[in-house]
Amino acid sequence: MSTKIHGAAVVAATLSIVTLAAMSACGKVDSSKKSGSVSIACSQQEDFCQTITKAFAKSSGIKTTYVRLGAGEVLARLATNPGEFDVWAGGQAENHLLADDKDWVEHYVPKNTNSLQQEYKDSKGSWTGFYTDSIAFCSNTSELKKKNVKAPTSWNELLTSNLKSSVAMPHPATAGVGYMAMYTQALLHGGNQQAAIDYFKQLNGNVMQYSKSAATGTEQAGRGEVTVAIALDSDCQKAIKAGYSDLKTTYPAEGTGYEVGALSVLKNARNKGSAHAFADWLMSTDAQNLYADVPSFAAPTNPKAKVGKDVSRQDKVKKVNWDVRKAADARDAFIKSFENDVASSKDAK
Amino acid sequence: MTPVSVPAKSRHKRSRRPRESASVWVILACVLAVLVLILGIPVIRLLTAALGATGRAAMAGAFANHGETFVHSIVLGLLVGVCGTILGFVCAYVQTFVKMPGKKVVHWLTLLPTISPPFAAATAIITLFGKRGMVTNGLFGMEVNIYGLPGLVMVLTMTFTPVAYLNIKGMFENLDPATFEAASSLGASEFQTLVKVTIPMVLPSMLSSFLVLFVEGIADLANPLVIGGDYRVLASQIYFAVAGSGDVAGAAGVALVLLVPALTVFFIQKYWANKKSVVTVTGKPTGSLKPVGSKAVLIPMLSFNFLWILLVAMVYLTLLVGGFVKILGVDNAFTWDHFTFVRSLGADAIGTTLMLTLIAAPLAALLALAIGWLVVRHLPRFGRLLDLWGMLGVAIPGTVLGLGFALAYSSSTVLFDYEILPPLAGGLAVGGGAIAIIMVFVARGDPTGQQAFISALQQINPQVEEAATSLGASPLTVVRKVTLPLMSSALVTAITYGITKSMTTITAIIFITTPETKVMTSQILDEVDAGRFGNAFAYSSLLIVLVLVVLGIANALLRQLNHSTRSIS
Repeated sequence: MSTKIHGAAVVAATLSIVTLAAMSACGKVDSSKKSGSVSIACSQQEDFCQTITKAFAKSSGIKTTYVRLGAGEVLARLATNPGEFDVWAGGQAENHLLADDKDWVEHYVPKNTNSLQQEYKDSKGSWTGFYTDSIAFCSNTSELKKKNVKAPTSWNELLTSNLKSSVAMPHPATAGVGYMAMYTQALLHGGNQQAAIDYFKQLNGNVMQYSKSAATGTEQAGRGEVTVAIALDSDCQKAIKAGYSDLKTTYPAEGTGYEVGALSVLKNARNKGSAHAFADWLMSTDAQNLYADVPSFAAPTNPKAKVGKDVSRQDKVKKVNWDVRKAADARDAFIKSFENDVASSKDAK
Repeated sequence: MTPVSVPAKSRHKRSRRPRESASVWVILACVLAVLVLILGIPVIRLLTAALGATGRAAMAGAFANHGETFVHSIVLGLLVGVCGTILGFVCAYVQTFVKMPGKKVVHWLTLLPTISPPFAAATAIITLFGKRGMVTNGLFGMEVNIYGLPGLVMVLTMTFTPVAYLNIKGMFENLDPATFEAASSLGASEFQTLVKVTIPMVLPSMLSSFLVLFVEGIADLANPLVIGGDYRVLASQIYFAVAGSGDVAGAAGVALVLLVPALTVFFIQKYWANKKSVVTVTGKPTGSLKPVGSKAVLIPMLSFNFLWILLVAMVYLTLLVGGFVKILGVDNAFTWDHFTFVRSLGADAIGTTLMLTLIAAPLAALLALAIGWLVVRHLPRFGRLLDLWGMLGVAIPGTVLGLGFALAYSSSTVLFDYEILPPLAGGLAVGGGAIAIIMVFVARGDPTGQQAFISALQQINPQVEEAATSLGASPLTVVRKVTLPLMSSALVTAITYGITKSMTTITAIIFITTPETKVMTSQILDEVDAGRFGNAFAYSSLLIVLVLVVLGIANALLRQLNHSTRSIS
C-alpha cells in the first residue's frame, strides 16, 4: 500500500514542478524591457565589470546588467543574438571596428572625449577608448634564476632553449593579447605576416599551453608553472598585487604592441538613451578615476583622470606604430594561419 | 491480495489492448515532442550550418596534420572510458560487497567529483601536482609536467568516475543473491565468483558507463583549456573557432567529426550489451548479499579504492582550503576576500542556478524514464532510435549544443509562416533566456539516467510486469507500482545526475547565459580564466555545498521509494 502513496507523491511533485517551471518562466518576462535599463557586454575582468556597472547604476538610477564575455565571444554573440546588448565595453578597438564592419555598431561620440588623444578614439564614433595598456613579459624571478635566464628584454630572448615549455602565450583566437602579440611581430618585421608566423613557429616549442584568456599566463607564471608569460602589463601588475611577489614586468626593447580598450554603442539598442548615458558617463573623469580604486591597473585614457600608483606608466614604454584599421583587417586570416601553421605544428619540438 | 474473480478478468481481457496502446502512444508523443525541441531543431540548425561550404572546409581541417587532433580526442576518450569504468567498478564493488566502517563517507567522497565544475578540480590538480605542485614539487621535489594527456586523463577520470560508479552500483543492488550462493556452494572461490559471475553480470552497465565516459572524454572542452598543454583535441578546436572567430559553421563542421566516433562506440556498446544481457531479477529480493572476505579480492580492491579516495579527498581539501587563503602554495595567509567577492558576484546566480536545477532535474529524470521504458518494454525497434536520439544530449559537445540552441531559439521558431514558439534563448527571450537553459539542462541530464533505466529494465524479468498487466494494471500503473520500485537505484542515478549536471554544466550554456539569467558555473569559469584560483576555489566550495544539500534532500525523498537496496550497511 505504501508504494501507492509514494507513487502518487512522485507524480504530484513532478506536476507541481512543471507548473512551477511554467510560472517562473512567465514571471520573468519583460523585466529588462523598461527603458530605464541598460544591458552591457563587458570584455574586462569580472571585478572591473562589477564595479563599473554598480557605480553607473548608482549615479544614474538606471538598472544596469552585464555579461562578462571575451571580445571574440562578443563578436560571435552579436552574430547569433542581435539586439541582446545595448553597449559593448572593453576589448581592443580592433574588435569594435570589426563589429562596425558588420554593421552592428551605432556611431556615437560620447561627451567628455574632446581632450582624448587621437589614437584613443575613432572620429566617426564607431569606438572610443577608455583604457590602455601594453604587452609585456611577465616573468617569475626565482624560476628565471633556476633556468639561468635573465628577464627577457627582447622578443628573441624568448626563443632560447632554456625556456623549453616554459612560456605562456594567450591563444590569438580568444584573447586579444595573443593577437596583439602576433600583429606586433608583423609590424616589427615591416608588416611581413609570414615573418611573424615563422617567429611563432619557433616559439611554439617553448610554449607550454596556449591559454584561453590573457590573464591565465600571469597566474601560471606566478605559481612557477611557466617562467615567462606574454601578457598585458596591467595583468602582471594585478597578479603581483594579488600576492605573486616573485613576478617582474619587462618590455621588449625593439617595441611592443598596446591595446586601446574600447567602448561602442550597439545598433538596435533597446535602450538607446541609457546606452548613450552609459557611454558619456564611462568617459567622464569621475568614472575614469574609479580605475585607481578598482583596481584595474590599466591606464585611463582621460588625461584628467588620476592614475593608480601601481599602474605601469604607458608613456615610458617603447611601442610599435599601431594601426587599428589594419590590425582589424588582418585578424581573420592571421588567426587562421596561426591555427593551421603554428599551434598544430610539431616542427619546432 | 484478493483473488481475482473470473468475470473481472475476462472484462479486463477485452479492454486491455486499446487502453495499453493509448497510454504508450501518448507518452511516445510527449517524448517525441520534447526530443524534437531539445535535440531536434538545434541539431538540424547545426547540421545545416555544418554542411555548408565553411563547415565542410573546417571538417577537412580537423584532419590536418595526419588527423593528429582527431587521434588525440579518441585516445583521450578511450583512456577516460577505461580508467573511469574500472575505478567505478571497484568503488561500486567495495560499496556493495565489503563490510567496513565509514562506508557512507566513502560513498559521498566517491560522488564528490561529479558535483563540482570539472575545471575546478583541474585547478586543484595543478596546484597539487603541477610543475610547482605542493605534492610533486613541494613534498617530493619532482618537476612533473601535468599539462597534456596525463593531466587530462586524471581530471576527466576523476570527474566522470562517479557516473560509472552509480551506474554499476545500481546494477549490483539488483543482482539476485542466490546467484552468488549458487557459485559458492558449487565450490567457487570468491575470486572466481568475481571474475566469472559478478563481472559478467554487470557487464551491460560497465559498457554503458564506458560509452558515457568515452563521449564525455572526447566532448569536454573546459579541461583541455585549463590543463591541456599542447595536447590539442577537437573539442577545444571547436571552442576556439566559436569563441575566437565567431565561426559557427566551422565549429559545427568539426563537431560532426566528433560525432562519428561517439556514435560508433554507441552502436558497438548497444550490440554487445544486448548480447550479454543477463536477466537476474525475478521479483522481490530473496535474502541479502554476503560480504566478501577473501584477501585475494579484498586487498587489491580496497587499496585501489583507498588511493582513489585519497586523491579525491586531497583535491577537494585543496578546493576548500584554497578558498580561505590568499594564494594556496604561494601566500598561505588566511583571508575572507574570496568569499566576500563571491558573495557580491554570485548574489543573483546562486538563486537562479538552484531554481533552474530544481526544474530541470526532475524533468530530465522523467524523460529518461519515459525513454527507457519505451525502449525496453514497448518499442524494441523504434526504441533504438529514441535511445540514440536521447543520447545525443551527451554525444554532442556542450559548446556546440549550446550554439545550436543559440542558433535555433534566438529568434521565433516558425513553421509554414506560423510562429509556433517565441524566442527562447538570449537576453531578448521570454523568461530572460532561462527556458533555453532549462532545455539544455534536460538534454544534458537525460542520457545517463536513460542508460541507467535501460540497464535496470533489461535486468528485470518482463514476466514480473506481465503478471501485473494480466492482473489488470495499466502500463502506467505497472511502471509506478512494479517497475519503478524495482529500479529505485536507477532513479537515484537519474535524479542525481540531473541535479549535478544542471548545477555543474558549463560548456553547453556558455553561449546562452544572459544578463538576466546568470549561472554559477560560467562565473566560476571566468574566475579560473582570469587566473583568480582563490575566488574559483571559494565559489566551487560553495557550489559543492549547495549541490550536496540538494542531493541530500533528493536522496532522502527517494530512499522512501527504495525497496530493493540490499547493500550491506
